[in-house]
Amino acid sequence: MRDYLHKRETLLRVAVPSIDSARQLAALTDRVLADMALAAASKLPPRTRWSLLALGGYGSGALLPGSDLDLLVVSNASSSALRPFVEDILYPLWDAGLNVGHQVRSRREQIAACREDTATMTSTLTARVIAGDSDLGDQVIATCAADARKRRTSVLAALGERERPGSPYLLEPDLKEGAGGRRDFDELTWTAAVLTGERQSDPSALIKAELLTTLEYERLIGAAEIVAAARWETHLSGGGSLMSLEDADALSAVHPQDVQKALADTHHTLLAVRGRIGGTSSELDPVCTPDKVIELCRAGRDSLPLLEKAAWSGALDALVPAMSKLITLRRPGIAHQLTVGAHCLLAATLIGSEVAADTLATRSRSALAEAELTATIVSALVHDIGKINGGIDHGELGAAPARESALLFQLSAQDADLVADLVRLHLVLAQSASSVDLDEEDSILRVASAVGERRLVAPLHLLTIADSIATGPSAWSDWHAALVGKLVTRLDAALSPGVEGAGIAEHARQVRTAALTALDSEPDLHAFVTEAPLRYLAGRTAEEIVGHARLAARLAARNLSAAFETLVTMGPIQGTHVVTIAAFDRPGLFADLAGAFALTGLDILNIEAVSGSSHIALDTFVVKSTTRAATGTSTWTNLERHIDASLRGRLSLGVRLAERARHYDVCAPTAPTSVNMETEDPFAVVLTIKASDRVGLLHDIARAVTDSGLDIAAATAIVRDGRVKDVFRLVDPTGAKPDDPGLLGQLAMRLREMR
Amino acid sequence: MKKIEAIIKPHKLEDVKEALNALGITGMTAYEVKGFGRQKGHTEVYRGAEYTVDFRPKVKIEIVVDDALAAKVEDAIIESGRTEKIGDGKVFTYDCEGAVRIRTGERGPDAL
Repeated sequence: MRDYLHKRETLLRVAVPSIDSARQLAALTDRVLADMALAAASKLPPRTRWSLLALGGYGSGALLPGSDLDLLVVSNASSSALRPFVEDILYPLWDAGLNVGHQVRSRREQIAACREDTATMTSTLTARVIAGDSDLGDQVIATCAADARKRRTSVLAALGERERPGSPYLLEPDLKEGAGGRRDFDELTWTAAVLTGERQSDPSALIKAELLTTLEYERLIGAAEIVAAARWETHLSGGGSLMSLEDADALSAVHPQDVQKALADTHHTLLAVRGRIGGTSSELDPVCTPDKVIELCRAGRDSLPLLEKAAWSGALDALVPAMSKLITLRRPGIAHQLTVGAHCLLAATLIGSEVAADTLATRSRSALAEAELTATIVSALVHDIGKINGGIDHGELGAAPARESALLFQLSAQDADLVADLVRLHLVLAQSASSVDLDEEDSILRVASAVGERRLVAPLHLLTIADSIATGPSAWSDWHAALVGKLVTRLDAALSPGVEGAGIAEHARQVRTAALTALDSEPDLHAFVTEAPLRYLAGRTAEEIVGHARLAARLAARNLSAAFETLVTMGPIQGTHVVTIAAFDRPGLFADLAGAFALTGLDILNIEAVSGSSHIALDTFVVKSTTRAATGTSTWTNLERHIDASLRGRLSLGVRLAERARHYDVCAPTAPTSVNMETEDPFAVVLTIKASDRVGLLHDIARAVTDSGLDIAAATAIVRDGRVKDVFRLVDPTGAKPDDPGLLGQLAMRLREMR
Repeated sequence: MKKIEAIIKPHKLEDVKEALNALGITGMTAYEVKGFGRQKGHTEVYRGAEYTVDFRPKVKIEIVVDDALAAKVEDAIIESGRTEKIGDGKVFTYDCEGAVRIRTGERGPDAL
């Protein structure tokens, strides 16, 4: 025994992982067991017939480092008479720490056990006599096989129902019990034994039975050798027959890619043989038509075996070039469970069925026309096609081949473009949802810029869900669904015609670049530009932003809460001026500024107000004199005096404006005030007011907003022919969208009552 | 020892992680959680239909640190997790009675 253990240890240390090494280990073990059995036989009563058999995988002549030694002692002696003999064999094995499975039975008992228990039968069908009475042992095997043949219908049915957990396309497959693993090869061997009524060590007998082609057989043998080599290594690493990602990385004798292919070859060959025996074909038509593939995808997960078979056989290559490679392509990533191709097939079937279980996804799906839904399914089929050659950004790499595939599916050029876009962008939603602030408009606008078109949002939503679910359970949950759903909702709004978020973001980017270039020699001002909101940038020229940056820098240097800075330039129309005011933002600031203009005798024709970075508000007013008097230095001095007094709280604007209105406002309102609260914008309530202009109107509106506890995040106003249209983006004091309908209702009522 | 739990916005996890790394803290447990506080649920509109979101997705992190480091860790989480908007989350600190590194059997702060 000591000599055996030494040789075994040496073999495990130096052997190249392979089926040959497994055979060597079996032969080495055969010899020591035979010696032990012959020595122990002296303890048996005279004329005792006995036979020691190796069962199961060991019986078929290959033994892996961690495999059990499955042994059977068949004898005509009683159990008590056999005990010393059996103990002399088993105790040294147990003492050596080997895993031993054993049975001690009479010939009749073993044959009965084979009839009652399928596992006992199958392990006997590949059994082999190691020592003792070979006639007795062989007779047991032959009787078991002959009996199985007699009952072949029920036996084959039982074999066909054998549990085969997992998929041959799992990145961490069970190389023994899992689909495509050693047990699948064994089942084919058992099937051969059952059909011939003779012991078999491999499935070659199925060729004569026309259940297996020579090509299939050779492929099976090659696959079995690869799987055995991989199992040898996983056994030595302590992982049994489960090939973890770490195990796969550490394989030395075979490439994990070849293991994956071996599993697929075995899996599909077994299914083909089962189908031939049962008279049912599991094969998809050799030529896959676009309609048939889409139909299968729409039928859901139940279609996966057919789609996988089509992919593995190469039949799908006509529509998805290289799918026969993708189906076994390993590109392990975080949370990924399947090979690239199997992942794509699963995602495509999910779009056809389960994805719509999500409420928002149902809306996304119902938003798609039939052709768009088909395009989305095709995009799922090919979304990882860019992984075929590796490289960074497989979405970008896959866009062009995805478009070609879409055309093979006979999609229109427009829908083929959609497929290409979806493939290019398929990671955007999942990556952005957890990495950007979904409550910040700029973040959404940047994603909107990346996506570009609203029509992509709904199909991208479906593709993201399907891709994530198909990746694995850790990639999708209610948590992820909530984040992606929020992003989708806001992205859809940002890309709506009324917002055109993609355009805002793109234009803002250009303006920002130009402004930074203009401020090349003033790096201290760069932060103002880089931190400015996209909406602000998009609404101005680079020159204006440079001016604002300098204005804000002067204000920041003063660092007094009531400080402000003004910049006056000529306006776009003769007699008008543009006044930009930078001040530290605070509630009521806009109302105070608007009041100061009215008190100075300036009509506001247009405003653009935003809260910039570092809590600085930048409000730009286009103004003209209320009277026919010309504006000059004294006008701006007066304005600054009013602003200063107002910001310091030394000016009662309400009273002063009322006095001014009594002197100058002689016209009654010409039309009722229109007040509209728009709540669909995800970041602010948009308040639109249309009214006849009058002294202090803007101040009164802004004051009403401030008194209601809300802030003005941005505002625009246009005055024409005595009518004013003011648009305010209202937020709560935390900068979030107000969600108290009562508060908004009260504000609207107060504004409507205002004259 | 103190156990510090923080509820933060999901997109702030990387920032918080970096801030804690800067303090020499390399280990933490993170969970994907959902909940609400003063922020409460809200209504969103998608394709013309309103839907209510009752629970907001957040990330919960747990760290156990030596007493001397607890205040710095709190500050680091607050600074790095802040967006100045509602829903930034909370930090909770508890006394931790013991810690054992299972592999080595080390106990107390040595196990951290």
